Amino acid sequence: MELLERTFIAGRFFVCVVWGLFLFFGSFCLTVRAESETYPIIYHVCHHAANDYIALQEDTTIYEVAPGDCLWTIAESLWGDGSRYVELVNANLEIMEDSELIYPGTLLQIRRTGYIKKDRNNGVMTPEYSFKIPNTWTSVYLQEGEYCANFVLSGDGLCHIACLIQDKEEATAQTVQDWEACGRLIQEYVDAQYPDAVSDLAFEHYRTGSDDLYLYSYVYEADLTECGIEKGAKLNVCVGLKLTENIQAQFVGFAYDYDIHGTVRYIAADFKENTWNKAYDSINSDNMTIAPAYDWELEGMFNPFPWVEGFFDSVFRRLTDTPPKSQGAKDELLHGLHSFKGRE
Amino acid sequence: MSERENSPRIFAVRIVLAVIVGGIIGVLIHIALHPEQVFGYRDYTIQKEQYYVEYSDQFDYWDVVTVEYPVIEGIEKELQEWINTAMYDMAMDRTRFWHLAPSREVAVFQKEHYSIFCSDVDCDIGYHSQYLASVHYAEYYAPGNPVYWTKYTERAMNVDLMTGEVYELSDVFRIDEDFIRLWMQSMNAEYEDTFSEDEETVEILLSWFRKEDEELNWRYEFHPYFYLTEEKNFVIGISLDPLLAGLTGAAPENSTYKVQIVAEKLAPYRTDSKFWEKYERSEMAGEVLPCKNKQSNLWLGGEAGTWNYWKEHS
Repeated sequence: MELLERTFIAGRFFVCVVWGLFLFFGSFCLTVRAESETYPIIYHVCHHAANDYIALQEDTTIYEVAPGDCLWTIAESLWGDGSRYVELVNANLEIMEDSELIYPGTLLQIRRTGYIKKDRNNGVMTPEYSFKIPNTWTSVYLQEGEYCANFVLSGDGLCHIACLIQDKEEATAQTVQDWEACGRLIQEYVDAQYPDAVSDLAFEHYRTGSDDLYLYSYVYEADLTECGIEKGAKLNVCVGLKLTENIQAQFVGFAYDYDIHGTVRYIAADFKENTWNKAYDSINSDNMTIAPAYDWELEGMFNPFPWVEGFFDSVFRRLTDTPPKSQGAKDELLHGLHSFKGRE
Repeated sequence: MSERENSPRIFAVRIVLAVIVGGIIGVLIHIALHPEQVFGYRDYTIQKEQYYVEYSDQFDYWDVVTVEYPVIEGIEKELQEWINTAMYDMAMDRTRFWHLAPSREVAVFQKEHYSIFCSDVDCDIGYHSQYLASVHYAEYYAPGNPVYWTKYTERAMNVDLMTGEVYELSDVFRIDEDFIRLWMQSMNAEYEDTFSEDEETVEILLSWFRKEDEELNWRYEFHPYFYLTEEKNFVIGISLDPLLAGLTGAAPENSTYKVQIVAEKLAPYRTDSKFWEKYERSEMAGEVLPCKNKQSNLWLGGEAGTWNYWKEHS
């Protein structure tokens, strides 16, 4: 009995150590790797911003000046504030030698900035949408192997919420129209693909005003035997989907030893489309991504199951120096190359 | 026939003879003055030099760079200059990419994540004949930090001393499935079954040697290479040098596969390149001089603490 207890404690201790390592090295490595992807837009945390907020600044994108545009109206449509046209000028000094003149067809470099306020009105705010996030949470870019998400809210300990905020798709609206049917499809998918790894699947649906909030949560037990760990690690996973008039916001939360379900619900419930922005165009140019994406029967909804599985498998393999799961001859060749000892 | 009738003919014959003799004398004089154009260069030297920088204070991060490169002297001046520049450029290839001449993306990466750049290149001229010089470079380099991103790579340059032409692997060998199979078999024989010899692996390696792997070419630069040994055998290899998107891993990482193959086995894959004529007529010539005052790299040299760190942490 004592031996059993010791083994159990040792197992728990090892898992904790591994998570600790992940937290310690993960934040460094993941931030570093942010530059290594080719997404046109990556959110950078700007530490030089004012003290009461941090800014999420996108990489530069291009705006083509249309007939009738002026700097003021462009700034207003981009940021909801025409007086910020000065930022446009400053970002395009090389193009606009005479600082007030632009012509149809001129390609302007633009940056848009979202803000996370640090006071009690904590939240993300862009011209199109806003939502609160818990105090002390911040934004990171997450990558582990081929698994990445370019806008992730991160709390203390291992708790992350990957955001996928896009224009509302007809397919998504149709899929969730019958939420009970969705629940059955997800349950069938889990029974077929993850009969042992996924448990405690639960579904919720709320309606607030004209917006709908859909949630489902589950516990995922990562199989770590290949990493030399007998006992699996249990992760709480929760997916929240908020549908507003023009936007669908999916929040994929995953955490170890933390009620991620409550936080996802808090964030998703607070997600609002900004009604003051009459010039709503599209937010898909934000290029928010959780990759790779896996097809499943629920069209228009992100499939979190293989992504969470692959992400954590990669994390544990890295931390325990376990070779990557063989994904084919090319991966084997690359892995062999990196560890090849034929050098002089 | 009268003597008068014969005289123009005799005159013409004399003229022709004079031209022929003159030509022969001219050729002999030319050969005497420029024997290398026929017999190649025999008395040249290749002096190894080193680009050496230790904490230059010119960047926002530290730099420790020890790049060894060859300098040839004793061949035609213009060619000499061109060849020396080419050999230097190849030695500095990774240092330029990650340190001295960064792309916009690498510059951003430098600004945000570099604490140090270090590179340690050794060059070796294993074969040098009256017509050809075969230079092999081996490099450890670390963009950002040697604790996280130390890479090992190799590359090579084979240059025609008569024309300055640089021969790539695909110039001298027909790179097809059979060539790849021979290369894989040689690798497996030398390094205990490095590759499974199935068709998929052949196809992948072929696409690497042909630089046609579109799935990976945004993560790696493909550098197939070869160099000659003293016995005129061929070392054939391929390096996958990571671009910014391929910069992963913590422990020092190898980027190259290579193996020596005897010349006879490669005969069926020869192209009709001029290289072969020079190769056949080549015999060792010139002299390679070691680098004077060669400095060891503080971070990546043989005695550097980085290796102890990895011994303890691997």
